[in-house]
Amino acid sequence: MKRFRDSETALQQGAKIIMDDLENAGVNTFGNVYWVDPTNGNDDNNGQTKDSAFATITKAEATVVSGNHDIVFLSANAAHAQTKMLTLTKSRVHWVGLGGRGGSLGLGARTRITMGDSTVAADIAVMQNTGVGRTFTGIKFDSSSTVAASLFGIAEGGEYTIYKGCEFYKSSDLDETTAAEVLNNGDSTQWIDCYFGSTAIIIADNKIRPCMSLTATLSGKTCRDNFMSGCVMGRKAGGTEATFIYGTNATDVERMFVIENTKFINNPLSAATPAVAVSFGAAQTEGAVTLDNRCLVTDVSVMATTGQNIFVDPPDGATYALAGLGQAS
Amino acid sequence: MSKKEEKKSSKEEFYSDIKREYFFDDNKEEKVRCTYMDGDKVVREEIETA
Repeated sequence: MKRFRDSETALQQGAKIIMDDLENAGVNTFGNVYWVDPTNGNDDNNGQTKDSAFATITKAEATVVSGNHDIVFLSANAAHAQTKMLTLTKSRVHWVGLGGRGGSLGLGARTRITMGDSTVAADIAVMQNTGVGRTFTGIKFDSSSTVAASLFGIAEGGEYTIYKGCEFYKSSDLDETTAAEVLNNGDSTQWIDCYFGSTAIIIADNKIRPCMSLTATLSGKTCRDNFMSGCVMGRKAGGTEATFIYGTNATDVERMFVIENTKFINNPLSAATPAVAVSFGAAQTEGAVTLDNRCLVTDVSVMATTGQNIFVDPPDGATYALAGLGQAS
Repeated sequence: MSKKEEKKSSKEEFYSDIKREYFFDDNKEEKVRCTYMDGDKVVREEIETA
C-alpha cells in the first residue's frame, strides 16, 4: 500500500488521480478535484487537472459545490497572495497543500496563503471560515496586514473543521493585546500537528498577544468542544504578560477544549519569561480546558492559572498549576 | 539582579509589525521583502529567500 507521503508526491507530479491515491493522501472523498497554481494557472481554465489549474483560490472556492466533499489541491511553488480576506461559507470542502510534507508538523508548510495589508478595511484575517466539515491540510497561513481590523491570521467559526499539519503566522500587530495568529470561535474544531506563532519575532512588553485567541468575536460563535493534539506554539516574549492561549470572557469556552501532547515554547533568549501559557480574563463558567501530561512549557513560569476551570495533568506530580510543568530557565 | 530581571534588561530592537511582500527576483527565485516597522517608522528592511 502506498504511504501518505508517496502518494502526495505522485499527485504533485500530476499522476492520474484514482480513489486509492486520494484515500492514501488522507483525503477520503468522492467529490470533484480542482487544482490551483498561482504561477502557471489561469482562472479561465476548468481547474480540473494540474495542467489546466486555476490561478486563484478565490476562483476555486467559487467553483466548488458546498456539501459535495470537493477537494482543492494548492500548489506549493509560490505564495497564494491575497489582497482581501478569503470568506468561506461553503461546507465539506477540503484544501490540501501539495508541498510534499505529508504527515509532518505544520512548521514550514510550503503551501502558503499570504496577505499583506488588506484592501478591505473590515477584513479581520487572511481567511474566515464559517462552513461545516471543512478540512485544511499542509497549509501555512501568513498575515502581515497592518489594517486596524485585521487582527488575526485566520478566523475560525465553522463546525467540525480540521486543521492538520498547518502553520499559522502573523508578523504584524505584535503590540496588540487582542491580536492573535488564530481566532478560534469554532465548534468541534480539531487542531492536529499544527504550529502557531514564532519564536523569532518579539511580542511587545505588557501585551498578552496570544497565539490563539478564544475571545468570542464572531457573531454567534464560540469555542466549543475543541480538540488539539501534537501542536507547538512559539513565542519570543518582550514581557511576562505574553500568553499562548487566551480568552477575555467567562464564557469563551463551552463544554470542552481538550489539549494533548502540545508544547508551549518561549524562546529562552527572549527578554522575559511569560507568567502563564493558558489563561483567561475570567474563570470559565460554561466549559473547561483540559491539558494532558504530555503538554509542556519551556521558559514559561506555569501552564495555567488556578481557579479558571483549566485542568492540568502534571507529568511530575507537581501541584496543579502552581509548580509549573516545564523549565522556567 | 535576578535572572529574570537580567533577561528583561537585555537590549533588543523592537518592532510592531513586519510587512512581508513576496516577489520573484531576476533569477526567477521567490523572495520576500521584510520591512520591519515600529508604528509608521521603518526600522529596517531585509530581503530573504522565501
